[in-house]
Amino acid sequence: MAKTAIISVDGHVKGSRSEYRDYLPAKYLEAYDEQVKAAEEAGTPDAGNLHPDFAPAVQWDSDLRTSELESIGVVAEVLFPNGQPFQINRLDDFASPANIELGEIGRQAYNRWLVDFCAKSPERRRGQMMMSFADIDRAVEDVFWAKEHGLGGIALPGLTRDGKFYFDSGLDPIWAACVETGLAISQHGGGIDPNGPRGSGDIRATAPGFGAFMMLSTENAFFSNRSLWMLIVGGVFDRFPDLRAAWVETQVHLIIPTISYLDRVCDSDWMGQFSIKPTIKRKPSEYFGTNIFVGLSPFSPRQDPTGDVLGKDADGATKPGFHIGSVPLMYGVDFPHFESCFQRNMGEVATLVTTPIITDDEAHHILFDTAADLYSFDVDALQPDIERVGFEVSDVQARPDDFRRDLPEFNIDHITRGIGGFGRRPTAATTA
Amino acid sequence: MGKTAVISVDGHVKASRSEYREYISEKHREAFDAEVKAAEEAGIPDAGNLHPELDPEVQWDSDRRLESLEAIGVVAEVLFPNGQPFQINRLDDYPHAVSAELAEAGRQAYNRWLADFCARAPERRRGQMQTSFMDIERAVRDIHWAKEHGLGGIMMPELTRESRSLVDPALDPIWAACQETGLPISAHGGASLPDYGPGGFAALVAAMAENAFFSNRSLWMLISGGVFDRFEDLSVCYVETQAYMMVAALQHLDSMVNPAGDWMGFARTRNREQTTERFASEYLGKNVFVGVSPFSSVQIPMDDLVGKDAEGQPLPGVHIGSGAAMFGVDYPQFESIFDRTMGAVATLVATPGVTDDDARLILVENAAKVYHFDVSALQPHIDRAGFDLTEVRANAEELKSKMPKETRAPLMGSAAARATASA
Repeated sequence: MAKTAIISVDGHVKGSRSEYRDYLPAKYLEAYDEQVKAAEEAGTPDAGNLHPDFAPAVQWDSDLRTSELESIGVVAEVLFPNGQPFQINRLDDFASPANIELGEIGRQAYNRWLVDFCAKSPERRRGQMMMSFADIDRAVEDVFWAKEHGLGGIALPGLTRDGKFYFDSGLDPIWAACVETGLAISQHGGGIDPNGPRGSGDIRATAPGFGAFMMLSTENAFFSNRSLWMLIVGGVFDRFPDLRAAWVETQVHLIIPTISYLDRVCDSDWMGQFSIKPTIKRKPSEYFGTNIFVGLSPFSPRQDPTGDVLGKDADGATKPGFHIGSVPLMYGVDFPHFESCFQRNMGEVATLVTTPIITDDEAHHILFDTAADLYSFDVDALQPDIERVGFEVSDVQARPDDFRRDLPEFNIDHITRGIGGFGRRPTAATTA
Repeated sequence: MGKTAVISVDGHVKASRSEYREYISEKHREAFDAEVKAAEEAGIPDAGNLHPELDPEVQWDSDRRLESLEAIGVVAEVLFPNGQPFQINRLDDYPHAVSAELAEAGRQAYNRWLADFCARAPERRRGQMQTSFMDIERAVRDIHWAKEHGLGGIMMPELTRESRSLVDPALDPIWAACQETGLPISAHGGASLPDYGPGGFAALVAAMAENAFFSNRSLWMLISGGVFDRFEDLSVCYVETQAYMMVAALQHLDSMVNPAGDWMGFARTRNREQTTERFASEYLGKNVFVGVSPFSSVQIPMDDLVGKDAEGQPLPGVHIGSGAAMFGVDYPQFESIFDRTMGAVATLVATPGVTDDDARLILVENAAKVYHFDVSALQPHIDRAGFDLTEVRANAEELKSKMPKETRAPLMGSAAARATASA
């Protein structure tokens, strides 16, 4: 059997402080220098969300990054930001600047830097241009700009207060441009409530304790997936059947119940009561695999606590109801974030390829093929890298414990107890 | 075995326009009269969200309402508003007014009217007082007022941009007052929804999908904030908030509270040590109760709701369970199941694995416990208006067949079926 390797659909990069300076217009350099000076005086590291085991340089040093990833069997990456100029909270996946103007300047500088960073290893990187919905004409130009400059997709923004919802047909020119350029859309996790309660201060920074933290983690799954159901019910995939979009690190545990509910709604008279008929051509679940893809990141069976992702029971038989299935699934490492599965990467691969209900074909699709197709990687160009740093699935299957040594105890526990672990548990049969 | 009946934990009431006038303070009467005049001239009916087959009077006529409900096996109700004075959009479950002053005047008038309406059949009604958490001392006074005036709970206010997060311990006096008075808090669907713009399929379905999140938001805030650990006797009910979302959130919280998990490690790096003492799902049936309303398998499949398979064996994972689930009719709203209540009861009772004990908990006993209904006082009504579970099970197919076809059968069907049909 030939070797395979991983395309991680979830990597995070940024320019260094001094590098970003070269991408900013002269007018904003003074403000930028002040921000950098204040950060350095406060001892704030030049890093976004960075695992303490990694040097900040992995965020921007092309060769260092490539070799770190090769050491865990990753040959290519889809890239999201790990901090932009003028971003206030360095840990946010979506930059919140002090004002709209600085936000726009920071976004543009990041996009220009990203173009150059991807160009250092173009066959192995698909940078996702950070999109803004503030000006639709500009957004359309940006999509073509991204294509011309070698970027590999469009990163959807989070919703803003009083901004457009994703189902708004005013956004159609953007989707049309994506289809024309062949660029996929990527929605990364980390969305927050644009309106949400502010009476206790900024919940991410100042609200009290563990409770705020748990709440943030629970709500992330909702705010990061709003684009998913809004694009579906907005009929966007009916008007643009060639549009393809991925949801990366957005927490599949909320996708499944929400889509199942929308399927039930579209199948009942709930809307008939309001004299409204479904205007979408398929049931919401039926856009998965053709238009909708899911980057499970950081990859772990714990992302699938109910064992519902694959939609197969312990015998490999199809479970009733909606499940994401292996077709739309892709693998994310989330390098170099704190929560990245970098250190246990081959352990996670071992869990995946030894799960009895996952065929070798499915494993190859999840690890590599689906991402290669969606993000238009040139597989021939990647082949030498795969040969050099890849692995044989049969080898991992033959000695999985050698690879699982790095898994934290909790993961092992999860697997042996049969909790999650990709569909090992039976689930409730749906009643008519 | 004796008869059983339904306590519907989801009913909506309002006074008539002329009745509300008597509850409005003199200062705001002129504004109220102007509002009524404008509404009448525009031909707007004296109704909130009202099913077209029902008369507006069922919103405020005590005897008529009791009679209509008895006819479908309902002997008691938990009550939410169906419109307040100065409410702008009559269809909103959470009223909004043009100014804070008028909102407050409308809220107070509603609460005073509600106390009188419940007093006409006190053993059969639990009115939920409207309050606000913006002024904490005021909210505490309101809660004691509600108790003194015979109201049966507090309606959870919706979160606004200005609201405190419910994880904030500054709100503790409110939870303490509820615990002291024994009043539960009821969150109702429709809270805090953004304005999705003009109607149509996309806006409506987006609202439906997101309502499930916004209406249940206090659930994970209260659990995460350790509120049920500090106030162990506090009960919070989630009514018409879409139970499936609660299950997903509880499942997620359960999976996160693990010392070796990523989130816990991340929390430690930010000096946020774990403060909650239980798995989130353990609060179900203890502090957290779920009013499935309008009761239907579209909202949540029945076996998923009770967490049992056809043999009665527990299904893995988090389920609401018969220890926490309650039944809502949502009378007299548009989406109410009043015209198919016994079909919905039959759907529950005939689900394989659902025992008579499960059914009684969901239909009457959980609501009786949480909302402090006196079951012995309800017994004569149950004997008169109730039904026999054995009979319901025996006639389940017939009862279900009377439900509108669209609420039973898939409209769009499977992809394969549609492909066949269009070929």
